[in-house]
Amino acid sequence: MTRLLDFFNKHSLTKRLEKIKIGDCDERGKLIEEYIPFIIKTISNTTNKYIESENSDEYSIGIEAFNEAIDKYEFSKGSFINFAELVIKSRILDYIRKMSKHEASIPMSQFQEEEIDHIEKQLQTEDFTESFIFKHEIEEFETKLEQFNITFLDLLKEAPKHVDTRVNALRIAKYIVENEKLKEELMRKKTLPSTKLTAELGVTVKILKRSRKFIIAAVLILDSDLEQLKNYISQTKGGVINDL
Amino acid sequence: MIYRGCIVKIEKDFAIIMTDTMEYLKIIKRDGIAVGNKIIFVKEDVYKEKQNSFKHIGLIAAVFILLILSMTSISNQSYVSNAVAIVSLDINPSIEFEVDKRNKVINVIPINKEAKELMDRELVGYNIEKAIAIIIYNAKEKDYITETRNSIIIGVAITKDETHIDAKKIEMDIKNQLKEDPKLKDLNLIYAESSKKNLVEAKKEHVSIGKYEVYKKLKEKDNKITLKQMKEMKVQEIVDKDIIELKMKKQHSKKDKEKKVEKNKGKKEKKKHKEKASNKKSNKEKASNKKSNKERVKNL
Repeated sequence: MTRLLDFFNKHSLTKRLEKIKIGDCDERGKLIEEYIPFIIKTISNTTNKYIESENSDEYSIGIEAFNEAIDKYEFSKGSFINFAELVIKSRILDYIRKMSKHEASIPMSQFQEEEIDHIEKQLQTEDFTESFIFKHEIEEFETKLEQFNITFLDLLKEAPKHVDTRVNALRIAKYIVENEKLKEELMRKKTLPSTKLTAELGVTVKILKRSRKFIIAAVLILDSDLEQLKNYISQTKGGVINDL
Repeated sequence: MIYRGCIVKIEKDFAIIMTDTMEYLKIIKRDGIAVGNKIIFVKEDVYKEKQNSFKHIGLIAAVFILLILSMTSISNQSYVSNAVAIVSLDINPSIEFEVDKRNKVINVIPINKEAKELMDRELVGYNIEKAIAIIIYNAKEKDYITETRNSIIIGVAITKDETHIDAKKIEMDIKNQLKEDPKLKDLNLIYAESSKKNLVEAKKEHVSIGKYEVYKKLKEKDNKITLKQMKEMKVQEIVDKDIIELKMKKQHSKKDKEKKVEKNKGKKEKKKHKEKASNKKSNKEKASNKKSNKERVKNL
């Protein structure tokens, strides 16, 4: 059965590729979007590194390579996926080679003045300090969790898996943060003020019990001065603040 | 599915990540991983719990299957169950009963299709003689037994030597039970005592032990008959065709047994000795019977 489906998939893929070759730009965009997980996977497998979500050259190179693969692909060459994988891999490897050459330190004096300016700017990027602060914040978050006897491993096990329950738990967390009394009680007793929460929010004790650690963790982040961490959660779709 | 997240902790086998939707996930470790990294990853990167144990699941399953298979095959071959005796009944339908040491039926095995028709109720738990009476009664109802076709082979084999039960006693019990019921009179009963070894062979050939014993006895006289023929033959045919001697012999042995019983009644004090002696006697008598049968065959 799966083979049959594969066959249909292939069929539709070749059809789509034909369409793109004729000049369907929308279809090209769609196809690339659909295959982004594949591109990410291929890149990570080639470099054996995760792609950083901010300023990752590899990511854009990967997408460019995929795009190139669409252009260069000929139907007689066999599977498109294998071909695309090959193209992405070789482009990424080229890039890594180029970078490693760069790393073989080049004295500043070799560059022209304009270039020096440019490079200094690049090196200065807040990125480094930013990631340092971020790391620091995460460590702070961990120590805060420790006060509540929560580890990241606990959160792994007990955090609600389903989106809806997670959003609900985040709603409860937000409510606690906004409510001074509740927050104070939580910080003092180190437990969720469940009776008040059930009365005021109409949530069941079961939900509170099950996602207790998750809610506390969320409160700790939202109520902290861990600006980056807070930002990070809230900036993306499905994040805390967007949802509430 | 693409996840974005930041690494919050690195453990020995995996890294913990908090995604931008506040999901906590484990991911496999890759080069250059560090706390605070904001990364993009795909579903394949999520660390699968107990990756190793998946490899073993197949192995465990295989071991289980083997265990089950071996258990079933053992029970098929050597009756690990509590059965101490096997009693077979051949009218045309052939049925085998497994009997425990209290003379109760613990399992009923239909050997051919017709047998299933006679097993209209659960016979497990009945005394063996009662179970046989029920089957014979059913056979009469269904016209497997008529006035002209009234031969029945009953085979008994003891499977566990250490138990006090013996084949003779089972035979007697069955006979007495059948005598009690007037409807079950006028039957031509043929008893055959079998051994463990013959039981195994009979199992192999898919015949009832009763038929197998009769076949063996016939083989002694008439080499032409094959087991296959025997299997296909109805009991009445076997009896009618050429086994007059067999009948005679059986009647003889019946008489012998009755005599023995009478004798036994007389000597109540030395039971143990007596049993052994009677066994020896019966063996001798059987031997003599065989001799006389042979003579008869010669005469014929």
